[in-house]
Amino acid sequence: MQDNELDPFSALIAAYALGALDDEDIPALEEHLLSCAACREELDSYHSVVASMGLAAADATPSPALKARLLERVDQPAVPAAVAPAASSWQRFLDAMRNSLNGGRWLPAAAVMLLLLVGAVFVWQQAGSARTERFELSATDAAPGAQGLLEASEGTGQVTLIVTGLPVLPPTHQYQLWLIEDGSRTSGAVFSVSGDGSATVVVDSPQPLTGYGAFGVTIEPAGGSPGPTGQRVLGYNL
Amino acid sequence: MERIARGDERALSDLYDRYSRLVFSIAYGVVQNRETAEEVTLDIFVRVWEKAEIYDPHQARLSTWLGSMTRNRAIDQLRRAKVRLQHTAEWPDAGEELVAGGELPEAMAQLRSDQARVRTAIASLPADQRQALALAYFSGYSHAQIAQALDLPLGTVKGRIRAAMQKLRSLLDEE
Repeated sequence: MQDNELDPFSALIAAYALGALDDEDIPALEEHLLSCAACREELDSYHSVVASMGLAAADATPSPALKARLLERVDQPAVPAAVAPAASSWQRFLDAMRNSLNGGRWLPAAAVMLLLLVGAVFVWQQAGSARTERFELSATDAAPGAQGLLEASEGTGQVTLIVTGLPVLPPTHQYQLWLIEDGSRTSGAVFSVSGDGSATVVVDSPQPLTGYGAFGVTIEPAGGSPGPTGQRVLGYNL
Repeated sequence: MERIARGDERALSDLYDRYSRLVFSIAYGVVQNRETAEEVTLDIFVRVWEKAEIYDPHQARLSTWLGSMTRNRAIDQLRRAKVRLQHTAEWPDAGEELVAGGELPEAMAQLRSDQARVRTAIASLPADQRQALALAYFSGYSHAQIAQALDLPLGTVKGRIRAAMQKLRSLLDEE
């Protein structure tokens, strides 16, 4: 494909698929994608490239014990998270730390830092109260009539997204929920709606919902994207 | 995958045998730490177990679907922890030995062939493009962050990323 100097967006699309676009360049490109089908196709082609790049990663082998841990984990019935949704992730890190110490191996400095930083964040959050949080998402022009409700249950800490009125997408695409704070976007769920345009989805939220300043649902290639790349259909801003 | 969606644990075990090295390799490439990479690997296979029904075989190969999920998850982990890595993974040379399929040689032949193809394509890029691409792919760096890391003008970085991606796309498009 020839480099088209007259179309500044073409130059940005590959970087966008890679997740390398700077924050300030994203809104203009996203707005352009809404109205440019050719650009959306180009974006799809670059998504495929990015998806393939992982195959080139240098080979590394996990420890043999990991498989047993996986099978043990899927054998357990689903355990409700403790007070805050963050607890299950916190528990994983505690397990990792315990495993490392029991194995007599030194935790590499990066992992210790990871543990301390994550620990600090989680301790701070658990100090807050765990009430039920509800956020109503409003529809954008891309999906008028859609509604969304994001809710964290006080008892189990489970976060759920309920949507209605969203168009059924072709198999090439799915919806993706974004949890947004300070400009960074974390994926909370990738989902499809049933024939009537509704869905109830368990959300993977690393921290209580009150930790975020905004939420959004966008249309993405099936399986999701590392960052929002498609039309926003539902949103909430603090 | 259909068997996994129906709760067949043996199928999950088979999937793990085939793809755990790929998933771990990508995770390790991003987080540069074994424990964290293993946590990400575990997360990915648990997620597959819980949500196998969202995989559409018409849309993507299993290897690239898993690979995307792994990279996304690993970069997410990196960002949440706010750890700034000292060192970003590099793309291996095309000639470097691929992991043998081990106990499932035939099933892995397609994966090995795909891996060889992508490795060769990336290895054919100029070194400066490969470097910028590695920072973007493994560390999740933006243009500005790459420019800062390499002490280069922003325009130069944008040009290298664009050129690398265009070349890769044309190489990988060839059947």
